[in-house]
Amino acid sequence: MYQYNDDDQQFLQQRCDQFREQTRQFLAGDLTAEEFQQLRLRNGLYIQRLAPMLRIAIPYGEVSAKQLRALAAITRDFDKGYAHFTTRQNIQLNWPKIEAMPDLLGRLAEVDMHAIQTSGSCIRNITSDQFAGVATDEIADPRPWAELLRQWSTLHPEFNWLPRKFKIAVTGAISDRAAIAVHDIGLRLQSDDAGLYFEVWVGGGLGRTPLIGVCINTRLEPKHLITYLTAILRVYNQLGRRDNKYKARIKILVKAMGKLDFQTAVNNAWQALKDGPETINEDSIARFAGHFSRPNYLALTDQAPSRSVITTDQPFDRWCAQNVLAHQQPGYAAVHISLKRTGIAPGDVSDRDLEALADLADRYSFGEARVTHEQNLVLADVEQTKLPELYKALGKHNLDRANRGLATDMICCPGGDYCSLANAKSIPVAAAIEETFQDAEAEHHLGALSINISGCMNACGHHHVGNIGILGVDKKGEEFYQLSIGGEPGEDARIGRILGPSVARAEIHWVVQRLTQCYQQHRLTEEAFNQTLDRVGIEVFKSAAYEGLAS
Amino acid sequence: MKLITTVNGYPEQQEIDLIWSGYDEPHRLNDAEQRSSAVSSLQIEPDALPDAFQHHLITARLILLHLPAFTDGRPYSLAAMLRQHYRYEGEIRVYGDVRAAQLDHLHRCGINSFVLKEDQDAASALGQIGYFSKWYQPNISA
Ligand code: SF4
Repeated sequence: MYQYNDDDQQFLQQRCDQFREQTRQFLAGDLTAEEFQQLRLRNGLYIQRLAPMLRIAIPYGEVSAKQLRALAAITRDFDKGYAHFTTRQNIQLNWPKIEAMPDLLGRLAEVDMHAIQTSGSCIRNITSDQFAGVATDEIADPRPWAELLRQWSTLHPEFNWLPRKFKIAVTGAISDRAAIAVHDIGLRLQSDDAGLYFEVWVGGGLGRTPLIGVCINTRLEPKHLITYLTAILRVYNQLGRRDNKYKARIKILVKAMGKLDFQTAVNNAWQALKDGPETINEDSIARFAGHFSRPNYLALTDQAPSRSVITTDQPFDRWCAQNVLAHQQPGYAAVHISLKRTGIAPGDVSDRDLEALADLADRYSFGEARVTHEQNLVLADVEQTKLPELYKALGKHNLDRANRGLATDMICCPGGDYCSLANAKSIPVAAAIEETFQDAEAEHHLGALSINISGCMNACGHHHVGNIGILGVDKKGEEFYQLSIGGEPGEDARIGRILGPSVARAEIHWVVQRLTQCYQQHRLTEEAFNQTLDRVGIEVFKSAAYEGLAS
Repeated sequence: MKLITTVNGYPEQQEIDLIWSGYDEPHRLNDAEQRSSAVSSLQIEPDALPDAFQHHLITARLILLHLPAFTDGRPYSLAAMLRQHYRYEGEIRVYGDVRAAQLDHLHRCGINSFVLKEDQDAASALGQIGYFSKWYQPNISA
């Protein structure tokens, strides 16, 4: 994991001091609310429905045990003892006070954490694959590049006032767990005889106008990463629309210009930068890679794989089959920890959960954990022989649910319970759906299925790329939900299609249930939801879904 | 580096020979200069692209960049391009909604002269420049 050096720490300290002064000026009336808003946003602070909300950055999802403990203490001292993991691999506090913010940021800085650029029209937290460095399908570790981009994008002088927010994701594996096609820039590490290179995708995104990105460079030499990205951002900063915030994302610009013209504009801008001072030299590539060297693995051998999830009724075997993943290092495994628990909002953790997780990370995974964009956690480096012990320990904290990738592993935004932009609540919808899946056996038989819920168009719950997507809409002051089906986030990314009229809150979970029943009824062996959908057609699902509903 | 304070945040017009925007025709202000084509001071609206006015960069000594709102990032990229791409070495002056908190980033993009908005404190504005001991990016020098 990347370790802060003196320069990083000094930078963070100065940033905290700067924000302390800005807050003082604001509270004293010397800084307008309008200006302070922009400054606080760039330090992660929103004003929400009921209270401010602070979004803390977890760069590419990597967090240490020490940081988890500090977060636990912060939720106690500054908040109500819980926090929420987001789809951007960040963590949010729901009830901090503005006046306390400088102290809170100071506490974060003590453990090399911050909230810089977690909101505002600037480059946001860089996201990546939660299994980086351990996945068996990995071509190259994306973390050194994600860290390099984190540094480059931090208070970049030119790109702090973009037309709109800007999200970058990096993956280095065959299976795209970072959803690069739905990011403003998506980077995919590839390799051929001539070495490593990046595929550069731009203009993907969800929100009001969901679009899959386009690949504008099929082979970018890694040393050009910064200069090429600077060129993209420069074109966007100059030409992106600023008159309408719903049309301000880069995806709208790329679409309006067309792939070819956009590519040409980027290449023209790149000519002035290419091979210039920001070209990444071999030394710094090696230095960044060095921050992510492999931990001190023991020389072990692989244990026999556990039984299939369907044929076993043993909870531990089931958990192994569902939540434990293969690892590059013999004798080790990556463990997925579900934060989708009955009675708790998806992605929410208490201070005690955070402390328990810190202890488990220390004991079983070199003191480190990862946050996934599906709002779960991962212990990436667990000895296979210690899995039974870990499973038991997780059980004590209600963290042992074997539902990775299953129906109850829903992605769900905070929605109307917290968010001031929401049209409808999303957490109670997740809870209602969850209730229809109380039978774990039945859920395992249903198999892989993604249900994603957003409380509004902004799509923080990634509803467009869920097999079943649920979007809160406001119908004359009442909460309604629009359904889409067939979405997919990964290497075969696609946007779900709207199913039909929106349905009332009281009905939504039954509609979801009928959709899953329809899938089970029509699927051929091993067929995934979207495959069945493509084969039988949306009308079959539509009539199943709306059966018995007054339209 | 130059810090200019004016009553309304806008510079005196007679300093400028030519106004360039992305949409309108270039607009000449200076009669004397109109006879010769040499332009020594240019006012650039944020929607202009440097390619269109680059022929004036040879004679220009002063470029004024308009920052219509403090949240508008375009002048930052314009300045960076003028320095990096077109190797312009003269004065780049930013005016408009220029606030103290913005000064450091503007400066780091190669802007070396600032018309500060009237309600801004000059001392605190100058204090912003070099506030951080180190950056993660190289600065574009003026
Ligand atoms: S999707 Fe909408 S309601 Fe949900 S968190 Fe995002 S902005 Fe808020």
